[in-house]
Amino acid sequence: MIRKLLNSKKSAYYLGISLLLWVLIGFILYPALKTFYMSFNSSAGLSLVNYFEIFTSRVSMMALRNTVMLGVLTVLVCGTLGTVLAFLVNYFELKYKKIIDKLLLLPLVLPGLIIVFSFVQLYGESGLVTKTLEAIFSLNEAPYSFSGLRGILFVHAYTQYVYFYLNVSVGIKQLDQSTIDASRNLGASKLKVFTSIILPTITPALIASSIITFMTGIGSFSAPSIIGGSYKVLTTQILLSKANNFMSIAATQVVILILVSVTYLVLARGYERRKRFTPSVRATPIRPVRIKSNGLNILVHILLVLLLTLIILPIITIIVLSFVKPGTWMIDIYPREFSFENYAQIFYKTRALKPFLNSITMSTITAFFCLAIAIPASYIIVKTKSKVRALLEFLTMLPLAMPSSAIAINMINAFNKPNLFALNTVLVGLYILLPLAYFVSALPLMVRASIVSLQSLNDTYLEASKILGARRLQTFFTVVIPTIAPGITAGLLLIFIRSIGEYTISVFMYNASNQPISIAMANSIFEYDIGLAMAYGSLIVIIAVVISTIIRRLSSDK
Amino acid sequence: MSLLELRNISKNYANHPACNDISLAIDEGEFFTLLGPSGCGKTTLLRLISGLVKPDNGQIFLAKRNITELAVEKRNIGMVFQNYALFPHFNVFENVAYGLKLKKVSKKTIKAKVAEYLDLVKLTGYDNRKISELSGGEQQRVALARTLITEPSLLLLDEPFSNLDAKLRDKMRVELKSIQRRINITTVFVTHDQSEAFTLSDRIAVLNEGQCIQVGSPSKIYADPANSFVAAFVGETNLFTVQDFPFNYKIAPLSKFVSVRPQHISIQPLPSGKAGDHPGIIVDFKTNGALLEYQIKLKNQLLKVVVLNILENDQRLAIGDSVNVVINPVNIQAFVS
Ligand SMILES: Nc1ncnc2c1ncn2[C@@H]1O[C@H](COP(=O)(O)OP(=O)(O)OP(=O)(O)O)[C@@H](O)[C@H]1O
Ligand SMILES: [Mg+2]
Repeated sequence: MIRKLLNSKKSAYYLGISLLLWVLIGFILYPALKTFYMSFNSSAGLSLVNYFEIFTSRVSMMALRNTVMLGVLTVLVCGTLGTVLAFLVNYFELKYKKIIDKLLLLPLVLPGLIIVFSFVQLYGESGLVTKTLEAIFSLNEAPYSFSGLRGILFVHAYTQYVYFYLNVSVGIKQLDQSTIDASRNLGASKLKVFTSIILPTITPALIASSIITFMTGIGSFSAPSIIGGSYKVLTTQILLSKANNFMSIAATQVVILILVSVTYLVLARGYERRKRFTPSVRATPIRPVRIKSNGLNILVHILLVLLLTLIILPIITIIVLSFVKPGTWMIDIYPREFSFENYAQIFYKTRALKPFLNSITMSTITAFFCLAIAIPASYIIVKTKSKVRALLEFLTMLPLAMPSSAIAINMINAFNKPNLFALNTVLVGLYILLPLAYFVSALPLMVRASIVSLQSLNDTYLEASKILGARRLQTFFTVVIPTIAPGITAGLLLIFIRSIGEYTISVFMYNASNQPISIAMANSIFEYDIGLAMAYGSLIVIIAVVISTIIRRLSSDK
Repeated sequence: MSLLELRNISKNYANHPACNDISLAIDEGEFFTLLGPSGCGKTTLLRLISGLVKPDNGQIFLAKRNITELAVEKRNIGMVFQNYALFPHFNVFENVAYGLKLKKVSKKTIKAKVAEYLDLVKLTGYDNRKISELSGGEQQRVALARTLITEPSLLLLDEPFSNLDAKLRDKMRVELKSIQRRINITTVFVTHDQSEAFTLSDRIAVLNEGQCIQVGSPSKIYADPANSFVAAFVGETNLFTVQDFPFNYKIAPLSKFVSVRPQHISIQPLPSGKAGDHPGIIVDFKTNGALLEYQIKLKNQLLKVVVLNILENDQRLAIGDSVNVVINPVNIQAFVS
């Protein structure tokens, strides 16, 4: 009887693991391998023809160079901006530090697409800021050009400095005041203190941020595709190949893009390993430095106000423009007539409402997929000694190395023919493929969140509960769930926000049945229905801000 | 009548025995201590009793019933963990009430019982405190109340005082003992601190390397250690191999070790020129409250000697003085192992 029970428990466990591996291999590994295989596929069988074609094509090589250049410049620009901000906020005494910090983190939850459109409205050729400057200085043409590399970098600076800001802030908080005092005491100059103590402490943070920024930079799609103009990068080339149905060329471009990203990852990690150090256990947190010189103080505050304005301006713009009465803002610099008509259109016209509902539904599905896979996977990774742990970790983290456009191409390649993983159906063209792709791209985030949550679930809590008389299920509901729920909910909500504004994967894969809000927004822009687009954007912004507030509550409760 | 009985319990971890063929019988109402150095298997034995770990060999009986295969949650054995394991997402009341809630006891009864047990551990009025808002001693008491409220037939305590500072530790010892007496609960207590074991226990089992070396009352173990390990571990002693023993007394045949407690040695000043039976030199000296501790060199061996601090200051012996060392042969303990 006991043996039978044990056996059925064991077979349930193996069944569970098999299901997990089926999903992870079928929807992450197999699609990636399929793309890799496709890149060697040509009319003449397996060959390097596709690579040859790309490496001899001037346009493709330019796109590759541009991509690497964009990645490096993005790292430099965001690194400078984010690091300076982190020091201003954490190293110096400042008023309203908390609010400033919250505002600075805002771009983390705002979808890139919305920022791009809002920047166009502000700094584009007929943007509000551009026109205002023209009027003030009575210029005949725009004082700057917002398109091309400069425009993309401007957008990237806004959307990605936050990685550096976050990590460097954490690094600064790890600084040990006593080592700074000691080195001053030993006669080190302020500069020496910076180079010998502060810089080494934040170096790991800088490297980690540079990795994520570089990857996001070279994988960026919305900025290059909307304001890039003639500045072609790999992601836009991939869409072009896909649109022309050159799937093998698209696959090859994806492989090259992933190679670029992995190369940087390996180089940076190698450098990091040499620079790593263990922070002292009993670090005394640093005292914020008071800025003594009055002039400098004013300068710092002006700088901050300016930056904060730059950060909030796009959000205000989106909201204000969403109230512009349709058809009333044609030639004036500033809109004059406002109404709720754009929102009315979204909520009363099925055609306009559907994308909004689609996005909500698909983001919910994505969150549930992530939950269903991330919880058991991270449980096995954290709490068992199972042999599949390393494999699970590898599979769930694999999507980190793949930009959104790569994930999209992988999914299309894998599921445009019936295959076993999809139970012999063609998923391309079905509603479910888009949330599946969102799921692949969001899974690493969710797995990380649940790993952290599960690590906080100390085994002795489970033992204590058992000893007090709780059966397995009782322990699960009274101890396990309440302990891990806040972290997991926060992870789910973050994934919900990310998915609801997702643009790149959507562009590659949407169809009439599952058109998401981001595509509807882009279409409205291209149809010059700015107000409607901005109303969509405002809805996303509001959802993002509300949800991120909830996330912050959840994580500060602990 | 014995309440808990362990028969030939063994548990291996990676071919290394954490508990090796341990048999014990613990009586109803007894305060029983498992004493031994770090890594000797105390926690493992406690976890075996609780059911968190299953033995490789042997049986466990609770009130004459074989519970070796019984699930943890059905044993009705209470355990207080070293780090208390209080649920951080519950407040004090919810933590203490947890075991009763599982048993679907009515709300009214739970309220009354929680109040009763919080009173027992002197935490009345702490109901709504968060765990993070409690001191170490308070957390300890909540953990005790949470366990006792389920009225377990046996209470297991794994080094419950190791996270407390010295002063609080003394206080909690007294409280624990008085609570244990009041509700008369059979208790198995784990510690590596011999003085703690001695002040609290009715009986002690000394463990070493997974084996039970000796079981007995504190005074019996102190006065009559089973082997040299127990002699050295329980209280201070001067331990020698037979060859090195610096006194000229007959030792029982086959013995390998000899031990003499510091307080069983006395020293007498030895005026220069005079010879004694066991002449030595004072090499170190320490005042320890009411006691004086001397290190004496005798035939190239170091001896520790403790005497009462009653000598007048000018008569006190100093480092470098010659002394005659005297012991009563009945206080010499010899061991074959
Ligand atoms: N889960 C386990 N896996 C492998 N080895 C273990 C495990 N638990 C205990 N051991 C080993 O068994 C031996 C006894 O460990 P145990 O924790 O019972 O010692 P202890 O007497 O409680 O020590 P301490 O006073 O340090 O708490 C040790 O050598 C330990 O390394
Ligand atoms: Mg232990």
